[in-house]
Amino acid sequence: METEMKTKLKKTGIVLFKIVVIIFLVITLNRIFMPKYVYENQDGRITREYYAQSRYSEVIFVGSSTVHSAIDPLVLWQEKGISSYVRANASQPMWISYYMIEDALKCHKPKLVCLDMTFIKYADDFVEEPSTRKALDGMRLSSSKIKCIEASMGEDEKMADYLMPLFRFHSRWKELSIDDIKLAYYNKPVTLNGYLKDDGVAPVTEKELVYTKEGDLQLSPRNIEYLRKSIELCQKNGVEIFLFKTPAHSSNWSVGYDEQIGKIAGEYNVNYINFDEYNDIIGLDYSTDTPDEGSHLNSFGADKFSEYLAGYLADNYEIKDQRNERRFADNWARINAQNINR
Amino acid sequence: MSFISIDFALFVVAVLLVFYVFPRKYRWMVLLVASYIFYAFTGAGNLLYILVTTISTYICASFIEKRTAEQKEYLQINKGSLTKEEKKAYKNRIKKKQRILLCVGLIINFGLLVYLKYIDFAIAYINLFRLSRFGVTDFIPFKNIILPMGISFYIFQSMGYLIDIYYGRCETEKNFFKFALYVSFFPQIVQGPISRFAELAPELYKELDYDFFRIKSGFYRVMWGLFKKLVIADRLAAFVADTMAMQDTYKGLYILLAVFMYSMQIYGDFSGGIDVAIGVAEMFGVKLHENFERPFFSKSIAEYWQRWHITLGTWFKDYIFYPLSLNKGIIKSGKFVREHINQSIGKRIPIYIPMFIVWFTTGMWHGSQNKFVVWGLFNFVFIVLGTEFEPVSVRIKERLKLDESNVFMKFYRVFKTFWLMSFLRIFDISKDVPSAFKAFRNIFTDWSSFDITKVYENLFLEQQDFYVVIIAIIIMFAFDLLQRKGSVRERIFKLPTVLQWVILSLLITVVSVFGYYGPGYDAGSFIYGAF
Amino acid sequence: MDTIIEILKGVHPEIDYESETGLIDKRIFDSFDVVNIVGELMDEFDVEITAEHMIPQNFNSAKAIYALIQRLEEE
Repeated sequence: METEMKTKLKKTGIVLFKIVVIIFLVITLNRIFMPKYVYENQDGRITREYYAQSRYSEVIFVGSSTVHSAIDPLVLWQEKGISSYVRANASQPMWISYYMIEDALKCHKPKLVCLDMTFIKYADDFVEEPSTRKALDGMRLSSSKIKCIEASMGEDEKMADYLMPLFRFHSRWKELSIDDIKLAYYNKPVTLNGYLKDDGVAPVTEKELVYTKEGDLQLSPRNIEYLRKSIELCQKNGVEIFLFKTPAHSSNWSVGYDEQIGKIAGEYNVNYINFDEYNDIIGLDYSTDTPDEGSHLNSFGADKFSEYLAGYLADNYEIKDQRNERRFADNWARINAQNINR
Repeated sequence: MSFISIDFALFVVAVLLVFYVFPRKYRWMVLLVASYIFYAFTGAGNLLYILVTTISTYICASFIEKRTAEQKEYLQINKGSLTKEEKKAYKNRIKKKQRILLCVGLIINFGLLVYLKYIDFAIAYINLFRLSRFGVTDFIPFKNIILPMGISFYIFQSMGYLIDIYYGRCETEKNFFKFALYVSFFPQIVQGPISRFAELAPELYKELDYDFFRIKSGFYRVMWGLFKKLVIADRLAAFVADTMAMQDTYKGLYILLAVFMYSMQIYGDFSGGIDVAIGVAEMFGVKLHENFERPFFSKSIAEYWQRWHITLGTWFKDYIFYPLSLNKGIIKSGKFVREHINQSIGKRIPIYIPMFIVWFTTGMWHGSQNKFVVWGLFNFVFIVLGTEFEPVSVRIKERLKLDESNVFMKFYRVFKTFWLMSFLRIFDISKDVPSAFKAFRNIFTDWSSFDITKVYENLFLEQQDFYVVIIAIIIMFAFDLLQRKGSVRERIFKLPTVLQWVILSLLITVVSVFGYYGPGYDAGSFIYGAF
Repeated sequence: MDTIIEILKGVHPEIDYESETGLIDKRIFDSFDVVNIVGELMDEFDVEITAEHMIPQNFNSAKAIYALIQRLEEE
C-alpha cells in the first residue's frame, strides 16, 4: 500500500518536474528572442519595470510618450514626497491606458491616477504594432492583458503572437547576439520609474503656440468610451483620477478637444487641465526645453514641469508626503543612487 | 483554418480531448462531427458539395450491392435448374444494371468536379474558337468558381469506393454516418492521402484504448512535417517565384538554382503537409497510407511516380489504367494489330493508350491549364522513351561493362531522374507553356554572370536564410535515408528518456525559431518614433 | 503452376517465384509487367481477367495467381 503511494508520488513528481522544465524552457526561449529594450528603445522597459515599484507608486501617470519624457518621479519625490510611476509608452492609445490602469489596480492600489489626454485626438483604429508590443510585452499575464491585446491588435495580428512572443520575434535569430542571452532575465531598472531622460535640444521655430485645428473637431467615440471607462473604473475602486494634457509646443490640438474633455470631466466631477495654458507659470521655454521642436519636453523642461506638477498635486489631492516614511525613503534612496550611477 | 496555424493546433487538441473522453464506441462520431466542423470553416456552402458526394455515393453503392445480393440469392435458388449459358446471361443482366448505377454515381461526382474545376478552361477555349472562327468578340464571362477545399481528393476517394463496390472488392458501409466519416475525415481532406475504403474504414471505426504513445508519436510526425514545410518550403517560395519572374535579368545558374529549390520547396510543402495529416490521424489511432517514399532517390521516372504522391498514382493505376488496359475493346484491338499488322506495336497498345489517358488526366488534375496537360504528356513521353530504350541502354551497359549495382551508376540514375523531374516542374512555376520553354532555354545561357550575393540581395533569399535552407535540406535527406532502414521515430523512442526530450525540444525550437512565418522583425520600426 | 512460373520468368527471370510473396507489395512488378502478364495468362488459360481482379492480393505470388486462374476457370 505504502509503496504504491510512493510510486504514485514519484510519478506525479516526475510529471510535475517535466512540466516545470517545459515552462522554464518556453519562457527562456521567449525571453531570448524578445527585443531587450535595454540599450535602445528603452520605453519598452517601462511596463515591465513597474511591478517592482508598484507598492511604492501612490500616484501613477498614464499616457503616451509626452508623459514619460515630461514627468520625472524623482523630482516629485524630492519636492513633495510624492511616490509615483509613469506608465506611459510611445503612441499609447486610450484603450491601452485604460488597461494599464486596470492592471495597476490589480497590483497595488494607487491613491491617484493622472491620465494624459494627448492621444485622445487620434482615430479609433490607430494601431502601431511596435508601440503596442513595447507597451504590452512587459505586462504580466492577466485578464487585463488579454483584453488589452484584443483591443489593440491590428487586423493581421494574432493573440498567440502576444502570448508567445517567440512567434512574433523568431526571425530575430539573424541578429541574435550574446546580449540577448545575457539580458534574457535582466531585472535592473533602465528607466527611472518610467521616466526617460532626454538631454537633447532642438528649439521650436514658431515662438507663439497656436492650435491650428478647428474648434469643433469631434473626438472619436471609442476614445471617449475608454476615457469614460477609465474614470468609472477609478471611481468604482475609490481611486481619484485627474485628467491633464502634458505641455508641448505642438499646434496639433484644438480647443474643441479641451471643451469635450472638460464636459466629460465635469459629468464625473473630476479635474481636467491642459497644461499648455500654464506655460508661463511653469516657466517653459521652448527654445531650450524641447528635444524635438516642441513635441516633447527634454530634461530641462521635465524638471520645470515636474516641479510645478508636484506642487499642483500636493495642493489639490490628498497625497501624503512620504519622505519621513522609512520604507518609501529607503526605496527612493535606492532609486536615486541608481540614477546617479547611470 | 489552415493546417499550419495555431487555430488548427488548438482545434486538434480540443478534438483529441473530446475524442478520448468519449466512450470508445462513440469516438468515430466525434471524428465525424469534428470533420464537419473543420470543413465548415472552409465555407459553410462547401458542406453542400461534400454532402452531394456522400449521399450520391452512398445510395449508388447500396443499390449496386443490393443487386449483387439479388444475384446471389437467385443463383442459389436456381442452382440446379440453370445452364451455364443461362447463368452467364443472368449475370450479365445484373452487371448491366450495376453498371448503370456506377455510371450515375461517376457522372454526378466527376461531372461536378469537372464543372467546378474546368468550366473556365472550357469557356476560354470556346471564346477562342468563336473569335478565330467567327470573329465574335462578346466573350462568355468566366465563372471564377472557387473550388471547395479538397474536393478532388474526397471525390477521388469516394469514387474509388464506388468502383470497389462495383467490382465486389469490398462490402458497403451500411451506416450512412460512418460512410460520411470516410469521405470527410479531416486530417486528409485538405490534400490527401487518398485512402482506399478497405484500408481506411477499419482504422476509422475501430475501438481503441487511450494510449499516450500514439499522441507522442503523431506529434513527432507533425513536427517533422512542419519542419519540412516551414523551415524549407516556405523559406524558398519567394525566391523561386521571383527568380522565375525576373529571368530577363537573372538567367542561367539563377534559374537552375530556382529549379532545384523548387523541387525542394514542393517536396517540403507537399510531403510536409502529408506528414502533418498522417501525424494528426495517428493521434486518433488512424493509420493513413504513406504518400511519399523518398521520391528523389528514384532511379527512373516510372519508379519516381511510384514513390511520389503514391496514393494518387495507385488511384490512377487501379481505377483508370487497369480498367482501360483490360478493357475488351483495347485488348481486342491490340490482338488485331498484333495478328494483322505488327507484333510489337500490338503488344504496346493495351499499355500505352491507357497510359496516355492516365497522363492526360493526371495533367488535367494538377490544374486546368495547358501547361499542366503538356507537363503530363511530357511525363508520358519520358516514361515511354525510358521503356523503349531500356533494351538499348542494357546493351550499352553490357558493352561498357557497367555494373548496375555500382554506386556511381546508381548515383547517375538518381541524378538523372531528379533533374529530369525538376526540369519538368518548370511548367509548374511558369506562367504558360511558351514561358516554360523560354525558362528552359534560359538555363543554358549566361552562366558566367552568376553571383551568389545577387541571390542574397535581390532575390529574396538572404545569406543566412540560404544557409539555413541548405542545412535543413541536408537534414531532411539524411532523415529520409535513415528512414530506409526502418522508422526513425521507433529508433528515437528506444533512446533514453532524457535524449528523447532533447531531440523533441530541439525539433520544436528549430521549427518555431527557423520556421518561415509571421511578419518578420524590422528593428527599425521598433525605434522610438515621433511619439 | 509451371506454366505460370514460366510466364513470370519471362518478365523478371531473376526472381524466385516459389517463395516470393510480395511481387506487388515490394514493387517487383510494375503496372506494365502486370498488364503483360495478365495478357499472357488470358491467352494461355483462356480466362477473362478484368479490372475487378486487379488487386495486389491476386498477384503477390505465383501461388496467388494460380489460385486466381483456378477460380476463374471454375466460373
